[in-house]
Amino acid sequence: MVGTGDIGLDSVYLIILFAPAAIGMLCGLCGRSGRLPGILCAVSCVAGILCFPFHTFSPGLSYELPVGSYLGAYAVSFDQLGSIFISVSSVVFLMVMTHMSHSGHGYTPRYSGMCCALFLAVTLCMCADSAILLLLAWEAVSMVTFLMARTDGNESARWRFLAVTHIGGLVLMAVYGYMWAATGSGYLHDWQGVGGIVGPTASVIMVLLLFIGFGTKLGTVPFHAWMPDMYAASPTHTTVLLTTVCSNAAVLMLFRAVYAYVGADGMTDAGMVLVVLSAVTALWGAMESMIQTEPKRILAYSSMENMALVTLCLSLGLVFSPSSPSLTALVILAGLLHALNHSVFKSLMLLTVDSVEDVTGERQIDRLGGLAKVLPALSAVAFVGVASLAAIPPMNGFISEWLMLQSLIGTDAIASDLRVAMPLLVAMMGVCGMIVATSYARLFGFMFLGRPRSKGASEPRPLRKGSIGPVAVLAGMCVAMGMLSYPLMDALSEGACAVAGIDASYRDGLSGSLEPLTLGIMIFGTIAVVLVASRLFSRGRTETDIWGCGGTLDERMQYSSEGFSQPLVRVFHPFYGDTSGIEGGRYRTRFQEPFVKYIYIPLGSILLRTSLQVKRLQTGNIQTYLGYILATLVVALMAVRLL
Amino acid sequence: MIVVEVLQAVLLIALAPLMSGIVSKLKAGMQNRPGAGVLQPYRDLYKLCRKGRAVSGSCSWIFHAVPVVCMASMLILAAMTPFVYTGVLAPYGGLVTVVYMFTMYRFAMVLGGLEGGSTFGGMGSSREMMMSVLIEPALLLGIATLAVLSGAGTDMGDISEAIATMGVAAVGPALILAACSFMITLLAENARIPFDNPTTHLELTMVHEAMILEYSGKELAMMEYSSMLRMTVFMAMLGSLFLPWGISCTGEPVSLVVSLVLALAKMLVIAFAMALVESVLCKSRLFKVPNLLTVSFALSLIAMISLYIL
Repeated sequence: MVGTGDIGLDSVYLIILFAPAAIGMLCGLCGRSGRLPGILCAVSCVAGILCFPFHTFSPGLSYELPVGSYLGAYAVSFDQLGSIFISVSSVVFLMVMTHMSHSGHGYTPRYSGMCCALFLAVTLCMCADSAILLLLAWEAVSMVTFLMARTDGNESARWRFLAVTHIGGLVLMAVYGYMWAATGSGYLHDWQGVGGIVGPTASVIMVLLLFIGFGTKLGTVPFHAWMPDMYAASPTHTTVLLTTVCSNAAVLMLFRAVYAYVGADGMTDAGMVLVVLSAVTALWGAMESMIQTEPKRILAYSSMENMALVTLCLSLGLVFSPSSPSLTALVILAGLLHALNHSVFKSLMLLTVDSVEDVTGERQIDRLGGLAKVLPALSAVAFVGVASLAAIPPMNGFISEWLMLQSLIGTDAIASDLRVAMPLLVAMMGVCGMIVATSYARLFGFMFLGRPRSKGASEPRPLRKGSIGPVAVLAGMCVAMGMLSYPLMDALSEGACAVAGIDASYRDGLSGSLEPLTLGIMIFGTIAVVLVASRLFSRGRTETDIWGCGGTLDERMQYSSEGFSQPLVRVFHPFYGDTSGIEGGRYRTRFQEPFVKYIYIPLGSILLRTSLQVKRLQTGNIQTYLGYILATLVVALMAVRLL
Repeated sequence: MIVVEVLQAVLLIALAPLMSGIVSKLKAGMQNRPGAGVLQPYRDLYKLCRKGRAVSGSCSWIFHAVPVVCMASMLILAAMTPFVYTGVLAPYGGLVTVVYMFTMYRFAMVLGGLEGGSTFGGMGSSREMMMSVLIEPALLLGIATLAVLSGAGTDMGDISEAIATMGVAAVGPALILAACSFMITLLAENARIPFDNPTTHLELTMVHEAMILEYSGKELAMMEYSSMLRMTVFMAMLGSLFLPWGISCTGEPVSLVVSLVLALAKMLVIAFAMALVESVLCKSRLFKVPNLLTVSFALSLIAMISLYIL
């Protein structure tokens, strides 16, 4: 603990981490220039990136604000897991900020100030050590993203987001409040083993509520209804921050709450329920992402799928934990690593999409195409992004999926009948993986390949200077986190096991070997060799047109994105519930999300009908209201007397 | 031993066109045609390599990268597959990586199809992805079954060795079902009848051919060669993982010779089975393909579940 008067290295670090963002926030809110808050936020981000190196240099950094509140002190502490999360999230944050300053969106100073606020809130979520600070920071994340989502004409989407996250927030507040009351301490480090205090039933309920509460943010069905609209309608940089750093914070908080506070004992059945929920979410996210026609909506559903894989791993950990600590360590590592990887490749893809929208002015993939020819550099980084998303070796997405499959195949060690479920999960991973691969091939193919499908795509404006740099860095990270994943996995697993109190190495859970570095060198080496060898056969090359069966092809005479996904829609027709028909002279296929159709719309109409009934009470007549008061009083007094 | 590992990879790489030629020759024989010689694929590839290319003006770097990536991924797979010896040149990730290397190949080819900008390419890519959504889980489950059955982890060489040493004890419902599923997967992955017709040029039935329609010259040769190698790798995997008896685990010269003869015999049997299927069945309607693929999927699922409940 660093004292107030003691100017140690730790205090200096904390000041560099938090102070610039805080000043930037204030500057942004009352200033005229958006540049200063941006720079200040970048300074904080750089400090955030150094969090993990600093942690290894001087572990056990913690600090408590000398001014407390009625509800307890404001304290932060950094552990290994948290500092890794902060470091990776800060890299993403910094790249988003850099891209933003070169994007030409003309964001207001207030928006930049809000970015600083979001950085503060997210970082505090990851390192808070007191319950009050954690809850405040979590609430701030919701509020700031809500404010940052403001554009012309997405009011409905962001209000829906606010409503759903607040339902989640209330659930979380209840759970944290209960834990607070049970332990009698406002410090999170005192909450270890709260599950033992409250008893098994309450623990199970708390774990379920935690998954639901954070699930509203991570898009677990049926709480995902806000996601696609919100992602598509908000400014892209808000979407990036929401889906990457905010999700990272949510995953970290969920992990800590479930594994460190409540504990994973006796959760096998609850774990299985959550596994099923996550598997359904993953499949649904994958299937929906395949039929969307806006890049951001495709990526929104893909976030849902990826986050479902993370929650799947975290809930599988609950199932494995009684029988095999090493498998638990492995599956937890797979989940946490996937969250980090996701934040890197998803920000890469969203920023690329932002650049594409910027240069072409088109937002539908059916009006893009052929951009690889005019924007080769952007297409190359986007290729790295989709390769990571589709888990192609040796990218980082592949590593985390490899770990997940290892944990599923290696379930020989787990006891009992639940093993039978593992083949089903392997199958689920396979189906899900291929559907999302289809979806990303479609996304990349219709954005960058083929012939341009609109004027904007055929004559794009030049790419803004400096907007390729941040995405190139993220692409480099995708490759690096894939090929050099062992040091990261070791550090992450060490941190996670320390938090969850698991005394085992994830390597004992592996039933096969993986050498990502050698594999990567081999893949790139073979590609290089084949490339050089094919150059040796360099014969003549004739420029021709694409064969058009004797005619000339116009831009609409190629496959449409709807047509591309149509065979799979036909195969999965019962799930999509799609209806096709001729409307206004055009053949259209319409999709209505079953969750909206069968849950939200009926729920909404029931609520509306109930409130119409309740409205009858409101007569506006003062005598009636006095009558209500009298009746309530009489009933209350009688109740008190009788009990 | 590294010499043996290199040699077996080289052997697979060199044998690929021959296997394709043998299947065609057997098929021709069953259909009462003389057919081209078994060395015809080598001649075809040589011819294509000598020809110039016709490239559309609207094609980008991706168009030229796709054949390279496809071929590289298959070459790596050849180095990962045990064929006559259980040690492999590239044991860097086991069978999960193998499945993802197939995904890499498919992903690249699908992008190549979309890049052409013709309607055929898009159509082929779209159909290929539809099939692969059902093929890949079956493949994944099939080899996961082997990992659990052998209890030797997920490294290909270890599985092969473990099943070979288990002997007859390994033959059970799980292995048989998984092998059947793998055989269906083999046909589907390699664009054979009843899933696709490798020799068709009728646009309504094309899947694999449609994706490589825009390629010519050496790039077409690379695409064709990669698909031949893919078939050979699949046949080698079926032989050395599902029926591994006789494979050399020690690398002694005598056992290697025996193993080589047996491996070639297994491949001939598989080629015969493929030719037979192609001769007696006709290509199935596109939207009937998922039914057959679901059978393969169900077989592999039952195979793996049977390991846990039997």
